[in-house]
Amino acid sequence: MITYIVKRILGMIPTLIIISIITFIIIQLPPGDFVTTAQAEIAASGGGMDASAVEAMRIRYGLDQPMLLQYWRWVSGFPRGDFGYSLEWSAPVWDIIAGRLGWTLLLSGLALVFMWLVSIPIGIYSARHQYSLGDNVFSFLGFLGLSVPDFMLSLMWLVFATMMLGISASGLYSPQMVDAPWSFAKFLNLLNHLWPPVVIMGVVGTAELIRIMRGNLLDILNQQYVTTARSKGLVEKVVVQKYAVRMAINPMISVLGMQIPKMISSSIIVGFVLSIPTVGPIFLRALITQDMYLAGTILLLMTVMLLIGNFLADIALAWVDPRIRFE
Amino acid sequence: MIDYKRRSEHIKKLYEQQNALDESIAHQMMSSEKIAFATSQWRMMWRKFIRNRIAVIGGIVILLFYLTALLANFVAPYTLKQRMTAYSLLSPQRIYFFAEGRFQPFVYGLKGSRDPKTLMRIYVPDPEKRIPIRFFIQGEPYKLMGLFPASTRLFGVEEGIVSLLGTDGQGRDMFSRIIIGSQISLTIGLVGVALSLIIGAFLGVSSGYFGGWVDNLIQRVIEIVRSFPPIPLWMALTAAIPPHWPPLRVYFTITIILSLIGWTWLARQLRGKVLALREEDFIMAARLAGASDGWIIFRHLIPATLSHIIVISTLAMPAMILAESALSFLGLGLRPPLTSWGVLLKQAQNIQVLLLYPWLMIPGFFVAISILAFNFLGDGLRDAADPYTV
Amino acid sequence: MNENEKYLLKINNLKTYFYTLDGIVRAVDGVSLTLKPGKTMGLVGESGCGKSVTAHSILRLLPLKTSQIKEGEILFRRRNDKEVIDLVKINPQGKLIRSIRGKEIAIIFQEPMTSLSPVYTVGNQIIEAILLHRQIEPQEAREHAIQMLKSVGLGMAESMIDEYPHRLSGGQRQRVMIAMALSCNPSLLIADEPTTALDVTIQAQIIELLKSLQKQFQMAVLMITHNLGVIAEIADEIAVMYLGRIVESGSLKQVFENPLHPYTIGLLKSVPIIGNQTKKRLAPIPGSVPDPLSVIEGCAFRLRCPVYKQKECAGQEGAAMVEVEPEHYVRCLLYDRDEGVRGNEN
Repeated sequence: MITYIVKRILGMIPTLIIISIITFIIIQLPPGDFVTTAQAEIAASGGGMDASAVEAMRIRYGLDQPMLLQYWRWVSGFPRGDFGYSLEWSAPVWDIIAGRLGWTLLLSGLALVFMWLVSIPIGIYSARHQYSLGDNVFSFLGFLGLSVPDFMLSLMWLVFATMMLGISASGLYSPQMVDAPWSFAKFLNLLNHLWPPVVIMGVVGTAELIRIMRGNLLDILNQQYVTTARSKGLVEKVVVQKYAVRMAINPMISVLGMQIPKMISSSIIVGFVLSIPTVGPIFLRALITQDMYLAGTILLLMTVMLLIGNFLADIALAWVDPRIRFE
Repeated sequence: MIDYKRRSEHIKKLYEQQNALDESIAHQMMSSEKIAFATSQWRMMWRKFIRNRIAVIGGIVILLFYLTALLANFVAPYTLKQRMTAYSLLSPQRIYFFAEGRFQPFVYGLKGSRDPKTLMRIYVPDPEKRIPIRFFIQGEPYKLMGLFPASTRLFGVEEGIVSLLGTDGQGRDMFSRIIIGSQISLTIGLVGVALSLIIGAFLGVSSGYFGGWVDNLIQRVIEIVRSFPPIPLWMALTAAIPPHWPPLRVYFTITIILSLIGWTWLARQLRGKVLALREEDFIMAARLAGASDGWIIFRHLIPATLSHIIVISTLAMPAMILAESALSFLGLGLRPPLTSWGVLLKQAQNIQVLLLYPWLMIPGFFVAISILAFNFLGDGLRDAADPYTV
Repeated sequence: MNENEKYLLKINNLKTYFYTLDGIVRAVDGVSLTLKPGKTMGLVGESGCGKSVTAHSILRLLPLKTSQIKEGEILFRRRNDKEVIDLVKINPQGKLIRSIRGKEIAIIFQEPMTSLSPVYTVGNQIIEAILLHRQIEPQEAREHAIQMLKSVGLGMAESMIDEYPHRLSGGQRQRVMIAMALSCNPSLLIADEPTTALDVTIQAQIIELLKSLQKQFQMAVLMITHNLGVIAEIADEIAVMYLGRIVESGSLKQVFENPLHPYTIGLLKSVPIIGNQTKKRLAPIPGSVPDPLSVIEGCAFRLRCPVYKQKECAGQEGAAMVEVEPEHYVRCLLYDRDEGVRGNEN
């Protein structure tokens, strides 16, 4: 098991290096750089910058140096927790994103938990009552959940909350609570603002997981070892739980790993629409202003999150499935 | 007592006589049966598909959507840019179908005024003034399917305005814009999937067929591409499209960017399928007969995986449509003058706007309905093609 | 001899139907069988003839929603009180059938690779069965499980008990299945194609094992197989099944030396029997098993029968079981009447 973990970690290193290079290239793709964008913005507001000021700015930010060197400057800081400097915010990248990364992780994690808690019982119900009314209702809702884009759900929630419930649905707190000192009321207020994005982020995945759980379980209920268990004289409940559900959950773990990229994507969009301080909104802004270290670091960290998520899912799978554990 | 021994001996003899006869018949049947099998496979799939009512409905909705997109300029009463400034931010109009007991659709004329409290512009229907909706009416000239000059439109009014889904801030008819926008929203998925398919089928089939280092390399590349979360990667790539590019170029660049990730999934699926097929007898036979790799791939492997390709292409469509609308919604994808559902939704980002003019959200429902229809269709096709695997 | 004293299991006119989207499948359509205690009955037939459904019907392991026992009775003599119960009449998920499953009637399956759950150790799965039917301590159950593994010829039983099934070979897994099945000393073992998925050498070992265990445990065995070689090795009696019905039954000697039904004759001609190899070409039975959905009036085998030329075979009821010699039954019109073989003059 330990050798398996070590092997996996070592295997991730070359991937990480390649990913960081690709990320850097992508971030450098747009013509011009941050200074060009800044220049355009100043020009748009009626100001101007002379050539020497522009050049001075480039030199100050190191934008005049060859790409490889710029890459090295960016990457070599990682071990020290230095991810470069945001030109737009005039602050170290890490200081800007640290808090937001926390919210992104929290929301994604809660959404994953939500998906599991909802989809497994429903999947079991649907499989055991195949083609019943409940199964049909759930599978229709599942299709609906798969089909309504997350930004639409967020918009609809915004409208519904404001018009029907009369509450402000965007942000982490209601306007009157933002500056209030910490209290239980504020905490409740926070929770009230957290569950809708979590649910919205989890909807698509939940729909998928229900289908997978249902399909797996139906498949497994027809397996020989389930019949073997039944032929021993076990109670049906034990047969289903110990032999069928336990097996059906294994693939759910790898599927959960596959949901992580969707969570990350969703956290950006939902964060943007519902004004939640995930990394999404600043990523979008950084891309537009070509704030390359900020945008690059966010893209890289999201990819790392994905890698780690998949890694954890693999470990969990090996932990629950002896066939993989002993490979 | 029955003489059973004589009877059983007789049966044994009959068996022996029959043998020689049967073998020649069996040989003749084999070849004709094979042809029957190939055609009946598609017929069986069709029969199974047609029985799945919800998948058929999905298919019909999709056909309607694409038909409308094809004839968008004819179906839409107004052009994309036609501004009716007197009627900006008009809410969807109520259509009355019967006048004096017979079928004659009409809308009421509108009187503009201002809300005394909010000073916002409001429109009050004028019951005195009925504006009949005319079919095949002459409107603004356009080119049908971009080719044939025409000016007849499916429906319209001679005076005032008919706006099924309201208008936007510049007085442009949302219904017309959604219908015309569907051209881009729906084709970007189609072109994107086609591109992914070309890349994915080529690499997936070669990966599965050749194995070895080819397979290894392709799998490594897929792994790297897939280790990026899709939306952020798409965002970063589309952000790099220079703002001054002509619309068509932007359109194609975005499809390429979308298929850049989409192909990996298709490739994986096909690789698995080919790996299984590679061991089949008919491939082996072709190889022993000296067929070239290209011949085997194009004559045997691709036809054998065709049903599978159709299924996964259908299932890949929703992701493409979704990605385009999400990117455009964020302002990174398509930009005006290109109009897609996502671009239309961009004006509905703000909660204040949404509360006052909720009909601006309608393009989002079109996104949802098209994805739903594709999911239904794809699911039905998958069940029809193969009930067990993806 | 009292008729009731003789049998352990008696199936009378069993009809088990499946309800599919395409129609009703009459998988078992009037099967009658009698199993004597301590004896081995071989149930032979091509795949799809309803052998396994018969076995599953006995243990009531059929899918509840899509299948139903339409008619018939399955009388089983219980071990201790000698009481006879009709397994058809009891609740398929109830307490009674659960106390019979595994304890009095055990079953082993064709696929040793998939009959054990891959996520629990061998021991876990055997001990579970023991604890279910015996009031003993877990430690004792473990000892007993090790004992059972040894008795099925698994040498390293002490370490094997903690292995996961995927670490064992097919033959080892089938031995584990047998150990599990016999762990509660059942009076009837149903072996549903137990050797089909195994290598030939392993097949022989498993058959030998089953034979010796049968003596040791004094149980009856219902051996279901399409392999006549296996039957010849182990069975005392044979029942040949075709499309949901028994077409011939009798002792091993009777049926092998003197097959009567055209189907049995065809089967014996199509299978190489060990020790009976000649250079002669094997004769396949012409045609294939008809579509299970179709309802065939009269004799189901007539479509493939080399003798069939007469209208009576297509008649409503077909033939009844006829006792041609003592304990040797056949269901064929050729033997039903005392008129000689008709049609052979044509």
